[in-house]
Amino acid sequence: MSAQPSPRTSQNPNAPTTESGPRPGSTPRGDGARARLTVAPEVARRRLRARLMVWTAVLVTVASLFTLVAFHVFAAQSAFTLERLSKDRANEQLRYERLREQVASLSSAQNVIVASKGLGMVPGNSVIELPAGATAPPPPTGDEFPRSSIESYDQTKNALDPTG
Amino acid sequence: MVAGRPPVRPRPVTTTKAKAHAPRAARAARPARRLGVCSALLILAFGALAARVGQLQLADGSRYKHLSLDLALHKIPLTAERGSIFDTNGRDLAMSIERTTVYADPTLVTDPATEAATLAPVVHVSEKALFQALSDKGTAHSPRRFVYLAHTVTDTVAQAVQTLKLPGIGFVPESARSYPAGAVGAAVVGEVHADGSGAAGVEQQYNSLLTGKSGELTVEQDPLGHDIPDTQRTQVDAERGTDVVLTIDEDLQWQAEYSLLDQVKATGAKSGMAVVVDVTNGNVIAMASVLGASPTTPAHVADSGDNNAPLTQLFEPGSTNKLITLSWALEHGYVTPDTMFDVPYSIPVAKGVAPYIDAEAHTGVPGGIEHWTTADILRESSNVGTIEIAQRMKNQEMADAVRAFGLGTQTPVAWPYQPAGLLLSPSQYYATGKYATAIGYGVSVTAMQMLDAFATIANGGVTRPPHLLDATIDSNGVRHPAPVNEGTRVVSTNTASLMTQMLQGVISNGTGACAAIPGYNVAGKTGTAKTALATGGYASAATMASFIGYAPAAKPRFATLVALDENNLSYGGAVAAPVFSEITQFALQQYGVAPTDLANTQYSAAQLTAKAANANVNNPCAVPHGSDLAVAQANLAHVQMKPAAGSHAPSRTVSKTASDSTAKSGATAGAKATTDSLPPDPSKHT
Repeated sequence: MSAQPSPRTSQNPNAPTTESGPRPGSTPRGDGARARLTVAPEVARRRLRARLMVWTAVLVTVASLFTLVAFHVFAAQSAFTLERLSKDRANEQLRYERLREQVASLSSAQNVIVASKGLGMVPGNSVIELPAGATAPPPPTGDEFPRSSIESYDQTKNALDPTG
Repeated sequence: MVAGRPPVRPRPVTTTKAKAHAPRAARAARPARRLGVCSALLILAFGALAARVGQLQLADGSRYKHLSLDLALHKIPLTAERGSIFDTNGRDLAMSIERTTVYADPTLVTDPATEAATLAPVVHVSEKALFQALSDKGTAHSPRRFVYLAHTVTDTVAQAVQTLKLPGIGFVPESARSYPAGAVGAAVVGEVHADGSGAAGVEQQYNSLLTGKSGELTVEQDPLGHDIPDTQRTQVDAERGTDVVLTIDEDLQWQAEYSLLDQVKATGAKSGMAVVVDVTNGNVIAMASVLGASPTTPAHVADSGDNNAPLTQLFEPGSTNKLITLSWALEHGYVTPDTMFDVPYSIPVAKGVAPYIDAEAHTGVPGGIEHWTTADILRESSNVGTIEIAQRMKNQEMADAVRAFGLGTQTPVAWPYQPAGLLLSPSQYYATGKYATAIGYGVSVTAMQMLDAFATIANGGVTRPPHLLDATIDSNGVRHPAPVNEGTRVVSTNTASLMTQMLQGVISNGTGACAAIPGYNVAGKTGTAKTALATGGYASAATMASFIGYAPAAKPRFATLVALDENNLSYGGAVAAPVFSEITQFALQQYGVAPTDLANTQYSAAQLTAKAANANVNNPCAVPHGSDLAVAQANLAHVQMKPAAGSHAPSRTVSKTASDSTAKSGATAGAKATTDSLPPDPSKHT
């Protein structure tokens, strides 16, 4: 910036200047106007600041790039994991469905009958009703907590045959 | 930097020599012009480029963007998995499962003949078909790169094909519908078309529920079909279809089909059907259809593509309709259970019309006139007695009665193509319509409608709307119970109670003795109606033999209907009642219903009645299974070979389940020897 005299300076050239006046020791221009003087920072400090700024910028840039790359790597890695898990899930779902089908098929009335016939089982000729004694356990109401089968069996057996 | 600049050369003085080189010097002397021209050209060129870019990006940008996306974006439909169908206990009746489909790229197949021969026994497709598929390589311009070889094969088959490592053979996953229960309930569950949509049965009825919501995957792909990474990729997940939970109990369904099938085989019936309803909640827990033997196929349980007869087949109910007539007469005070009637063998209803008659002559009583109470008329299934009761009712009352019990309107069970049935309007009753209706002719009903009428009486006179859908389970696994219709009162509790008492008499000492169940009191009614012919009139020797009842009579739990479309004069009490007994007994035991008649009072009486009427038959009330079935079928074949006996059923199927009166009559086994009422030819009356 060239040190041009301010309009005020030109109006009153003898007026002291503080900020815009020429620095002491500076060489006035050939046109006779006095250049404004400023306090210049030290060159070393300016250089240090510039270096710091450059290094900071470089560091920030490198760090940003590194972060970006790392983020991208993690994202890609997660994507692979996600894909693998999705495949696992699909496979497990398929396996579950096939097992479910197998269970349903094996436990269907049709197959149970075939299997039981294969084992030599035949339908009973008659049904024998066992009269329950007076101490028989009350029939379940439906809303009570189910007892264990062993406990239930023992009670029922005792009720049916107290002597045994 | 001025200091570093070379000094300005003084302008050369023009000499003669210099003048000779003037143009060259002039050109050299005007670099600014050349620079200007070059700049202008560059500006022009870049300007043109910029203009074009601007045009492409700004003016036509959106168009080209869309064109580009259209080329690169591919939408892949994601098929929604079809919902499952469960029975009432949560067992799978139908489910979708991913299977493997085998395909071929014929252009890669080197030896079609060898590959076809190798694959045929593995994928169970004819070698010829495989060879044709593998040989068709298309044309040079449009080569054939894909052809299906076998759809949805099992894992074992897929693995076997993979092991062969044949060139040009590939595999793709494909969803398939699986029915783990096999043929059990097949006609109820139905089937799906090749595209996965419901074609019959529950699959069709609840297709909109079972079909899920398709999703879509949008990806950018290169011309070779590879996904372009880091580009637009959107996915709308497919929504699984809703699961449907039926009220059907698979075990009971099997028992119903098993009992019915063996009886159809034993009697040579054209078809049979059975329905069991839980009277306490209206759940239809079994619904069986059986098709009789034809010249090409043996008797078998109805397949997935066959009609579900209990909801679609119309028939005249015959004597089971007397329940409605008598209930209405009781309700409106025309009779009481003890009202006495003089019941002759025949009764004229109009001039010029043949009189209605009972199935057997009233022998052994003075003048052939029986003195029966209302209960006796029901027990004996007397047509004449029922008509005498109907004579006390107006035409409109008869019409109101059948409509009140649900005939003539579709049942609440949601089912495709369910008929409403046919009823005569009172204005069309003329001379005989009321009487024909009273004994179950002149009306056509579905099995479910008739069972609904009995369930109404079993439920104390209030209808118990049957339903097949128990609940739905949405894609989030939340169960939504199906809404159940409220019942409406048809007759009073007292009337229902009186009817139940009278219907028990049908089992103890009447036509339905074979329906008795040890340990339980049963109420029910037999029905035998001559089969209407498509050409008009009635078949001379073909009946719809049925039995409808419920148990335990005191506190009904199950109402069951069994009907067999017979090729001969078979009677409901003889062929349908035993099946009723077997199915209902299984249901009572399966559901842990406590016995109500441990002394077997009713059962013993019924056994005596049945044996008195079938002295020559070893076990008249059993459905033959196993070796007994083989014997029954042999007897049937023997009878059918005798032309003279063509109008008579084998001894077992016409065994009489006689009442006291028929026992007195001494009637022999045959068409005459039945207590279930068959008019001589109903077509003459209507």
